[in-house]
This record gives sequence, C-alpha cells and structure tokens, in this order.
Amino acid sequence: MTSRKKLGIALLCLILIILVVLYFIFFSKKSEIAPTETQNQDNCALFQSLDAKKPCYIENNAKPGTTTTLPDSSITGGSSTGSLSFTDKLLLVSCTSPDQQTSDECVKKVAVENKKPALCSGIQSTLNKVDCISSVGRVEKPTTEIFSKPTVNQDALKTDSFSNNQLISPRVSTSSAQASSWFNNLLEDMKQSAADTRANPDPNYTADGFYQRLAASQGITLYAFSEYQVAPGTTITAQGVGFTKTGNTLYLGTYSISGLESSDGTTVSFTVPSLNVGTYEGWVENTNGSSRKEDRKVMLMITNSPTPKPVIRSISPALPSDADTVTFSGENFSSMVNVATTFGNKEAVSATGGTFTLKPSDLTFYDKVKNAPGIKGSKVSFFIYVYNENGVSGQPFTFDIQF
Amino acid sequence: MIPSLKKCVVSVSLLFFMLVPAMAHATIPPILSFGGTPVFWVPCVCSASVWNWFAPLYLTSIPMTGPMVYVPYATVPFANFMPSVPLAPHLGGYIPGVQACWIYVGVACVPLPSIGVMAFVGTGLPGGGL
Repeated sequence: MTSRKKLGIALLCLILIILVVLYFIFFSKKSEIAPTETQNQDNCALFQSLDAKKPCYIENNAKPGTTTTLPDSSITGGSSTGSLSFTDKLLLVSCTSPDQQTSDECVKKVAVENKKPALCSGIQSTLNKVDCISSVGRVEKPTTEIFSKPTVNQDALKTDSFSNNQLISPRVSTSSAQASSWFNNLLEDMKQSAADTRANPDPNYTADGFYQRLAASQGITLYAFSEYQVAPGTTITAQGVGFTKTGNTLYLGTYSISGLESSDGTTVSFTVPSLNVGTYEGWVENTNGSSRKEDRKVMLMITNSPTPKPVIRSISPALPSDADTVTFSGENFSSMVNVATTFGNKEAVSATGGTFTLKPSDLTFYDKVKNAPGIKGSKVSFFIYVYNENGVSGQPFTFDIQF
Repeated sequence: MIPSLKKCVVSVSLLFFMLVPAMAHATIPPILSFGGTPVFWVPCVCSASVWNWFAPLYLTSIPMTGPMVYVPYATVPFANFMPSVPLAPHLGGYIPGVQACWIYVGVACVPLPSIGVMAFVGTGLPGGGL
C-alpha cells in the first residue's frame, strides 16, 4: 500500500471520527434510559418494582416556582414499622383497618399531618408509600430547595428509616442524565445571553458607545471661527468640541466673553467685540479645561473692511491624470497661496488673475498612492484647501485624479 | 508515517475550520463593516486622530480606495493592534460620514474629509494579506 493510500485512509478515518463526535455533540438525543425530564416519582417506583436495585432517575432540576414533587427520601420498597420509634408506632395505632387501601390512606394522612415521612414505612403498597413520602415532602420541601439539588440523596443511604435494606436504592442521576441536563441548561444560558446582548449591546460595537468614547478622548478643542476676517459687531460661530451647555468663556487675546452657551457642545456663537484692528488668538475655557494650544493657534482678524476667504471654483482639466498639471480657478487668492491636499501640503504657490497651478505628482504622498496595489487605472478622490492672509477656504474642493 | 500523520491532522483541521464557521457578530447600524490596507497616514493634529488612506478599501466586495480615520481611545483596537500601520491589513466596523480628522492649516483647523471613522478595528501584520 502506498503512503498516499495510507494517508487517504487515515484522513478518511479521522473525518469519520470527527463526524461521529460532532454528531454526538450536536445531534444526539437525550438518554435512552428513561425520560428523565418527565418521569415522576410513581413511575420511578414502578420502574424499581421490577428490580429494586435499579437506579431511579428523577428530574431534579425543576425551575423555581414549579410544583415538582420530590420525597424527602428516595427509598422505595415494602412496608415495615419495625424501625419506627415507640412514639411513631402510637401514631399509627388508629390505622389498623384490615383493608389495605384504607390502612394505607390512614397512614399517609397521619404521616402528612405529623410531617414524618418515616411513618410512610407503614404503608404496604410501594406506589402508595411513594405517594405518602411525596405528599410529606411536598409539604416540607419548597421547590426552591429542590432546584439544583445534589444528585445523590445522602439520607437515602441511611438504613434506619426502613428496615428492608435490600430495597434501598439511592436516587441518583447518571452521567448521561447529567449531560443532558447540562446541555439543556447550556442552551438556555446561550439563549438568555443572546437576548441580553440584543437588549444591551456591547458598547464596543455600537455607535453610541463610540461617540461616548470620542467625547471622553477629545477634551476641549477649538477648531476654527466661521470667519477669519470680521468687523466688530458681527455675530460669528466658534467651532470645536468639549463645549459645555453653559459657562463657556471665549478669549480673544486678553479680552474675554463669558457665559456663552452651547446647545450641541460643538459650537458657540458670539458677537465680535469692538477691539482694535488686528489679529487675535482665540481659545475657549470651561469646566473641561482650556483649548489653548501654543503650537496651533486659532486666529481671528478684526478689521473694518473684511476680505472674504479664498475659494476654488473650478479646475482644468476636469478629470486630470496623475501626471497632469492642474489649473485651479477661484477668488481671493492674492499673489501667493498655500494648499493642503490629500497627498500633502505645499506653501507659497504663486497665483495670478484668480488662478494657480499645481502638479499632484509634486506632492509628498503622490509616490505612495501611485505605487499602491491595484491603483493603476482607478480614480482617486483628491481634496484641496487653499489658505492665505484672507483665511482658509471653508470647504475642501474635491475632484478625481485618473491614475 | 509521522509526516503523513501530520499532514492528516493538518488536513482534517483545515477541513474542520473551513466547515465550521467561527462565531461572528453582525454590525449594528449605523456601523458598517470595512476591510483594507492603509498605504499612508496623516496625523490629525487638531483632533488627535489619524487619517489613513486605504488601497484597496473594501466597503463592499468591490475594491476601491479612500480615507478612513482612526481615533485612539475611541476606536476599539483588536489584535494585532496595529491600526494605521501602513500595509497592515485592517478589518473592522466604521461609521460613515463622521469627520473626525482636523488638520491645522496656518490660522485654523479644517476637517480632512474621509469616508468615515473606525468604530473598532482588528489588524494583521504589515505585509499580510486580507
């Protein structure tokens, strides 16, 4: 036999083994021994009546609130009053009817009234005895105590309750019954866990959880003013994050405006004060701290004749290739502009007549984009801001570059 | 026989893991799933985040290119914990339309547009395949 055939056989055997294991894990039925979930005490006794040494399987994982009936003792067998104490025997004196049925009912009644399962040993019929023990247990044992009760009743191992030791058969659950119960509990736990997850999703995977983490991570930051050049008395907006609903203080240099409100936490509106013409550093302070950053100052120019921000209106060609030189047309460019783009920034780009030119291939990250896998033949979105002494273009101009 | 046994075990293991899918969770809207490999990154100095340009970027089964933002302490990272590292394959969930990258341009901060922000992301190792 060649090694390949050996390998094939070994592989086949392993697959079969795995399939069998999977079958038993996922598709095996519950124990064949007895309907452990449905067998009640009477059936158990009947089962044992054929052979008293047979173990009696009883569902002992009843949920709280159900009326599962379990006897205090799981011993089933014939009757005997020989082991009863003198006091107990006195209690049964009245139960001397020659009719067995009548006598058994009497014993049961006395046992229940006195809450003494041991008195049930005076009953002849096995089934009646079990019923008697069950009735006493029903009174004595709340179902909550039955839930997850140990599988072996140690009391049943004692022999002083009944004289007929041969009939002692402790109530046990076999490993298959335990496995079945365990598997059902596992399924229930999984269902409950899934329901809980739907009701209370993990914040790591929800948008709300992300926004909460984002807010906690950002602190207070002032991004920009809605205008760069403004005249005194103009109402403008400061945009950022971490603003409180009330109690925000906006600083313009040494001048401050306190008591500003922010309904959304990201904007505050204010009227530009009548300060001397000039450029002022702005920042916001509140209970979250201060947004002031020395290395990236947010500026506001107060002037009596504000100039609008630069803005790009069009490009040529409309769909440039990566090697093309692109001509940008717009307004308020002045003689020199700076640009911030997807592929990198460039300063001091000369502008004339409302136009300036730029070659994307001159930008910092162009080579990385060009060499990216699968980029050839595709269009890449390109964003560009232009800024100069008149401020920053409000929105990025967006177009595609053909690679 | 030992090499054959090893092959056998490997084959059966592969078969098992291919046939039995691992447990997975569907993303919860508005979070959508994405995958891809960043080529380069730009620090968003105003917003303390990282702008990544992905090529390819999978928002559907059709590959494309585009930027996605990673926000430390807000984006949940998973193994191999290399978000934003160029050429490390990324797989995770993102929230479309959220502009979480602000760059400084002389007198103010402006948003650097992106497709969205990563809500959670797991990564491979640089140079690994998707």
